[in-house]
Amino acid sequence: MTDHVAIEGVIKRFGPLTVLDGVSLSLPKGEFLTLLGPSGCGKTTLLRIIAGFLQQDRGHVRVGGRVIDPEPPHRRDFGMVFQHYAVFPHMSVFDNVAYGLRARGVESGEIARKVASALARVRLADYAQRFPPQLSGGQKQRVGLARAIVIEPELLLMDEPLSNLDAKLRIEMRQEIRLLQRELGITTIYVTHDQEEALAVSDRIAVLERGHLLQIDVPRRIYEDPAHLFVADFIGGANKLAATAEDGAVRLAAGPVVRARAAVAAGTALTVTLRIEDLRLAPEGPDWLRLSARVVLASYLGARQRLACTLSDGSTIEADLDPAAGLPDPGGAIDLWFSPVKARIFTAADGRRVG
Amino acid sequence: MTGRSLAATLRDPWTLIGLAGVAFTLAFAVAPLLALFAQSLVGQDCDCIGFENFEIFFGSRYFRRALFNSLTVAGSATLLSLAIGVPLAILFSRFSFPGKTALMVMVVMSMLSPPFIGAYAWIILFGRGGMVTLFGRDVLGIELPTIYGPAGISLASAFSHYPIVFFVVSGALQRIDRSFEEAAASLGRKPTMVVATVTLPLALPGVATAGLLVFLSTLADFGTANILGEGERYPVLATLAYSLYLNEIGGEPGMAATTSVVLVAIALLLVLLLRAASGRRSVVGDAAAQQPKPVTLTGNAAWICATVTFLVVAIANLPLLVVCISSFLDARGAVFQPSFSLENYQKAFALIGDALWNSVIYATVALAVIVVVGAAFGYYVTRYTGALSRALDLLVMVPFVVPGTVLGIGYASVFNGPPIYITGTATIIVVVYVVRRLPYLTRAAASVVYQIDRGLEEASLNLGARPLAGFRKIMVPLMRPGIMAGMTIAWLEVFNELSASIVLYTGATRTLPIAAFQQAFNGDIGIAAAYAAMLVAITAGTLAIVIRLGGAEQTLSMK
Repeated sequence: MTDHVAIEGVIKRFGPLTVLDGVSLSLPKGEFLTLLGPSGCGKTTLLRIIAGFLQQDRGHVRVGGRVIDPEPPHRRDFGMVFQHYAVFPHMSVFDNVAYGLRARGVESGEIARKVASALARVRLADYAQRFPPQLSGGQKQRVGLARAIVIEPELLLMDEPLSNLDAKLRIEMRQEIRLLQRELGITTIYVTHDQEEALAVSDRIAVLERGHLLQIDVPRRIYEDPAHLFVADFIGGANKLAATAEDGAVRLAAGPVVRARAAVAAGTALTVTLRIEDLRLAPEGPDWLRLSARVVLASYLGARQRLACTLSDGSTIEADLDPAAGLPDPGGAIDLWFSPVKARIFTAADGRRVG
Repeated sequence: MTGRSLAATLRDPWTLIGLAGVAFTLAFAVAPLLALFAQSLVGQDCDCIGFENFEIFFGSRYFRRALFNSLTVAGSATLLSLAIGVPLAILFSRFSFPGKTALMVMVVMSMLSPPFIGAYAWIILFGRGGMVTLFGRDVLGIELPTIYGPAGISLASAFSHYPIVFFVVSGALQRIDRSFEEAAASLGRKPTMVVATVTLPLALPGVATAGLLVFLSTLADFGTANILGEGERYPVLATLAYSLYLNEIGGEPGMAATTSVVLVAIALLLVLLLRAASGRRSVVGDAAAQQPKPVTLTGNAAWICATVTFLVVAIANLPLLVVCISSFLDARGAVFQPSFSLENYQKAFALIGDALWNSVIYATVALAVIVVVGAAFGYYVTRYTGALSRALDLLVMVPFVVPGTVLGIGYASVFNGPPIYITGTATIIVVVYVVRRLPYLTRAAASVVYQIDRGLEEASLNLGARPLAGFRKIMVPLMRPGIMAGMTIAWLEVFNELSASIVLYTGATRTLPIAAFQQAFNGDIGIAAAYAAMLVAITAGTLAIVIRLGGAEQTLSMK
């Protein structure tokens, strides 16, 4: 697969603030790439640079090998779906979807056919003559989606398209978007701050923080093999335990020693992460390690129960356990076990992955 | 507020304020109009009730001509000011170009002088003895087209009213989220086509509102039409109503009232039409919309935009300049001489009497009342939903569609005997100032209140503060920026008020605008220039103080 879209060393400053600090990434034709990060990480800025609404200070955007930096937005041929829908309130649903086709001088019979098919794809076939004020949020966003795909764009850009919808609709819509994108094979760049949404829809995820690209990979690797402490923490949530590097091992401040090759000098301060679902009340293998803990709060969540505990070094840890094991009393002492292969090791100073 | 018991409603101090508001507007806005309507139904020779006056009005070529003139002048002035104001608003809100800030200041400056001063300045330049006219005739040997009559009135009105269009349309453009225009661009539209297919249609309600404001304002503009139409030579309804009223004192009543009723009917019809049109498809603006970053123009485009804008804005500022300069020129008869002196001011001050002092006192007192009452009304009509609040909301806006001259004539006929006998007093001038400009403050306050979270007051009540204490401590500070903006505009309008006070003044209650108008209409052109320059200087000075105090941002975003 060759790169369809390439971002090369893009830098963007707003006054003294560097919003994007040399971001490079590329995606092959037909890929669904998600830009994920907290607000202020630069993901929307990057999307708007790709769309042509902002001009980067340095670096290039290439599509099909061609640098498109000087092209104004209207010549880029990218469909865009907006956070606040941006469905033109003064035009009917039909006219909204037809807008890009008319800009391209498509003849009217063809327009009618294409609009009808796009509206059918987003299940709004019966709404062509309605006006946006009569539509719900979900319907408006479907119009936005139909309007962006009907022009068969080179690249589809989505700026947090689901963030204004309620939780249930959000899950429904993200599945629709994913199926539609697969069916049409449109290369897509999707921006969100919702890690679950990113895991659910993406071929690959690019995690951004404060203008830096920390990791770009398939969802499973982002979750299981985070390249940076921030990635481990932002996606899925993780217990962070203080530790120190020793020769050929890592000593947790809370007790056990993890046999691991951390590629740092002995004595370096480290942070070890453990996913809350990787903790058990009993060992499941000979190499499992034990943490002595005191229960602070036990919450019953239906499918599982969550314990909040303190460890011997005073740090806190959370564990998701099978409710069948029974709820321990708050204040009681318990042992929490984990497999050392589940531990991820980072430098405490800059969050670099070292084991 | 539904479901509250009557007792609880009556205990609420706001109910009392609402009732007082309705009573006040009924007495001082509605009653004068009803009186005029009643007078228009009384026959000429008998005391019979009927439409005889209206038959005379529509049967007479003279009256029909005034009606036609009014509509032509207001219509063409509206189209002209839209043609100037709308492109300017788009240019300023979507593009950056050299000199933009300075040009913006010039737009604000062209609002400083009342329209009739603008008209007077056009006469100084292009009138029979005008500087440019004489220069053209004596030096170039060209006879310039006359400034008197419909074309001149339309031009002068357009250049004095285009800032209304500029600010209203700019406000509408600010409420369009950038994503609409971005969506259009991402779908392949060129910037010019984006403006044509998305920006303008979305701003259309603003454009329509601006057009209505200009139309109503020129329809009612007594001063410009009187000066450039030379009184009865080119009659329009506003000047006609005034001269009929003057002639009818002691004579046959009825026709001034009839003309007034026709004027109000036209205004009302337009307001209702616009309301019906905009109600059909409401495009709700988002107060928190993100505006697009202005595109920086470069090369030829930048210079062409800057130059054209400068020329337009410079023409609009010409009256200001002309009036100020010519006030220092010697005047011989109706012609200014090319020599400077303070003679005009010496003569002006000798004749001024109480006019300057009256203006300052009346306008200040009126403004204080407008601010306090307008803030309370704006709050009440926004936060309360009952019939009383809806009634007040409607009644307070009535003077908005009533030309000042009409309101003045109505006052003169209603308040010249019991129960309210204030004709000829300073009170009647202050009251008419208040009633005419209360809609500005009420609307400004209402739109601010609308944006303030109701929870803040509920928290105040919940913590045990009484309703009025909560209003004073929580709402007033939060409303202040919006009120400041409304206040600035109300001050400009009140201080320069002419069309109602010209009907109501007496020798003792003459104001500066009246003095300036009388000298401009048929007096000494030098003294007129001096009065006009004083008006402009005071208005500009007070505005500068307000901007210093930090109201500039809001003032610009308000109007």
